[in-house]
Amino acid sequence: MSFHIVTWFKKLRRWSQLNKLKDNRIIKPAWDAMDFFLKGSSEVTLGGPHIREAMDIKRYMIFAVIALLPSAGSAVYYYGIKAFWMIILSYVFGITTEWIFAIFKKDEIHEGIFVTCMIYPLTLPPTIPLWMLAVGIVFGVFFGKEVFGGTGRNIFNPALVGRLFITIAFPFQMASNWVNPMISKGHFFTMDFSTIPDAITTATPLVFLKAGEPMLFSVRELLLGAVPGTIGETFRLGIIIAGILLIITKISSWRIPVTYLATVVILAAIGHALMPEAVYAPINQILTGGLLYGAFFMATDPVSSPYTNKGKIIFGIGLGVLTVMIRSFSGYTEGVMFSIILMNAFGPLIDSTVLDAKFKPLSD
Amino acid sequence: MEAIHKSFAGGYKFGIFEGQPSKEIRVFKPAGDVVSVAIELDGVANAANVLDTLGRTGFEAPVSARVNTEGTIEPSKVKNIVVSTVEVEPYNLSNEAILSGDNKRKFIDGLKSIHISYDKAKITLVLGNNQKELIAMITQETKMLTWVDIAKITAKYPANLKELSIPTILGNRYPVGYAPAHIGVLFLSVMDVIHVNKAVNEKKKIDTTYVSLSGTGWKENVILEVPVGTSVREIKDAYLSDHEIRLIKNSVLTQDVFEEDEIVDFDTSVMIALPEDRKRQILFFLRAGKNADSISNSFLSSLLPKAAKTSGTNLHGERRPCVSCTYCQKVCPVGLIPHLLHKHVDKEIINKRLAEYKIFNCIECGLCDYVCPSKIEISSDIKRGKVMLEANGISHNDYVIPYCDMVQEVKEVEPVE
Repeated sequence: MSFHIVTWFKKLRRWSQLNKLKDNRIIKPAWDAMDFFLKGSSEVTLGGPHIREAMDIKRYMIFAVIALLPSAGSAVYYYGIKAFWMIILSYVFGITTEWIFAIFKKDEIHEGIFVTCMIYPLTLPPTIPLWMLAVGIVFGVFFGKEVFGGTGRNIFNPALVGRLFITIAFPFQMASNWVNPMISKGHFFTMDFSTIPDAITTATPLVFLKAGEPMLFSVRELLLGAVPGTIGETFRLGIIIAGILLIITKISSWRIPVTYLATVVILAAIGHALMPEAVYAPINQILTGGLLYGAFFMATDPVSSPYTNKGKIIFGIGLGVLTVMIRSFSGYTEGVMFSIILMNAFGPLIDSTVLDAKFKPLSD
Repeated sequence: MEAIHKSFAGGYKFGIFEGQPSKEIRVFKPAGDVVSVAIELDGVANAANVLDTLGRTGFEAPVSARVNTEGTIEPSKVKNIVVSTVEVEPYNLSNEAILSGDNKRKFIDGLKSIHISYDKAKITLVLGNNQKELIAMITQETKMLTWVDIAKITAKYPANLKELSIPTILGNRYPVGYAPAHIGVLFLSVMDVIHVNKAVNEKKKIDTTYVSLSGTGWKENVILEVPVGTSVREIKDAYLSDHEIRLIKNSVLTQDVFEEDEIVDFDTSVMIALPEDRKRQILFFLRAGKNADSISNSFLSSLLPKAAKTSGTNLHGERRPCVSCTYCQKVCPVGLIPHLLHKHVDKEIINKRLAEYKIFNCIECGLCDYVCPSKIEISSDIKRGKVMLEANGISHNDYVIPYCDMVQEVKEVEPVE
């Protein structure tokens, strides 16, 4: 399959001016990205270790995208073709932003963008207008990543920066427009989603809990995703399986998700015993909202989370405390995004504290 | 005697790479001239003389230390002798092949001769815990020798390097960059012991050594018994295939390629021929990877540990900025944070903090480079950082030496103007 694409490219190159195009300042980053993507590396080691292992950053990032596919699939299954277009548009606008930056920085397009553009649309409600989604991803990639200096230097998770921006800019569309899954179809080519109601038709489980009502959904429904919520967070069984896959393949660390979820369970158990009205039971905490999605896919972002082992554990505990606090005592129903953004800001501080304890200065 | 077991944090267990030599040993007769480097000692030869001549007892220090490294350690000052048979590199000289047949007895006799010369030293045989047959054989053979200790070490790279092996086995600290003689230790290979036996007990000239032809660049993968002083070119002409090949001396991780006119000497044990792999593999990053070696479990090979791993010099990916994936942190055998050191050196932040992050403890095993998915030259950066620190007046002497039990007074010599 891939072989055919390459021969096709070669033929195309022969009768067109594509060869000249690839040196064009604007085309070059995209051309190089495609070239590396399709054909692999021709570089050899410079000495030192003469052999290198087979893992590269493309595979590292693509595995994260693969782990997100069950959630993406469930989004399309439950919310129809609009979810599909949400993901596509997120990629189009996200990659374009990265491309424009690559042109100005004379740099390459880096692979992290594929994960960002997949994580972001899955955290949005199904009723969101598509232009709003585009604003969010452009903002997220621009202010969340590129202005910090690009790959490896961002303090915050770029997908979350984009989501935070539209949450604050458009609170109504982001927090109170929910629909039941499986009612909306939409039309593929005309992008006519008029069958999707944009008025409030229902609320997420967390909204019910916040209002003091009992949980209406069974554990099975919560696991399989037939409940209102953002398009990607509801198929929780898929998230758990994919998250465990990421940990087994050593793409992400177990420390952050395990400590995060454990902290939430322990705090919720204690809190629920003391204040049953404010703090929901542990099972309701875990299986509602974006907790599992955030714990497995967003908190584990290697760039914006601490890299020391102890730091990861502190980070996970901090996330758990903040999430339970925000869910229980603030005006917001969901606290996962805010806790991850807040703890991202603490990430460098946690790391340097751990490093100071580990690597002490020479005593004179 | 019951073997003690020692393990260490970090490290990496390589898969079995393709191009491993068969256990057969073949005698190589050079057609051309042999440079005369063979060791011939007179009638009163003892093990200490042989090891002196082989260069195992000398002092060695980083250039910046300006330490007097003349002479060799006196036998009475040697407290420990470590004989390593650990095979944890992608390509090793097989000790099992060497110690088959008559050499087994020669090895034991060599150990006895060493014991006579260094009667105050404790001799420790270090074995990897993956070498079951060798462990059984050596335990059997050394049962009667009360002065020999056997230590098993977790079979992970870099358990074969002296900087890691000695402190793990003996429980001390190793002055990185210095020779083991500085802490009263001799670090020997199986071949060294067999050489001792040949000179002391058989009273013969030490004129041959074993060289393992490893890697896929050879026509045949065999172990050769080569006269020392044979030109490397002659072995190349006889055995190397025609492709573009990189010929590496002893270790694919820490050593460099053979020089143009190099000869086989007493330090040559493995000749690794790897094809210069510039071929681009279509959609490489999406492949199942039945034969890929990786620290991650994202390849099919993690389910098929017996399948031979492909080796070549291809970088297997594009160079990218560090994303703090922490693979280098996981494998670092001395507990450093390689990517942090890389970032400091890369941004030229050369200050005391870098030394406090224990950059001088780096043993330069090259594992961080090997596992980096962003293909960053981390260990080169660390080496550069060490040099820059010394140039800025922050010396390893303050960070390494005070914690080590040095036998020899480290005497500074006047720098040559």
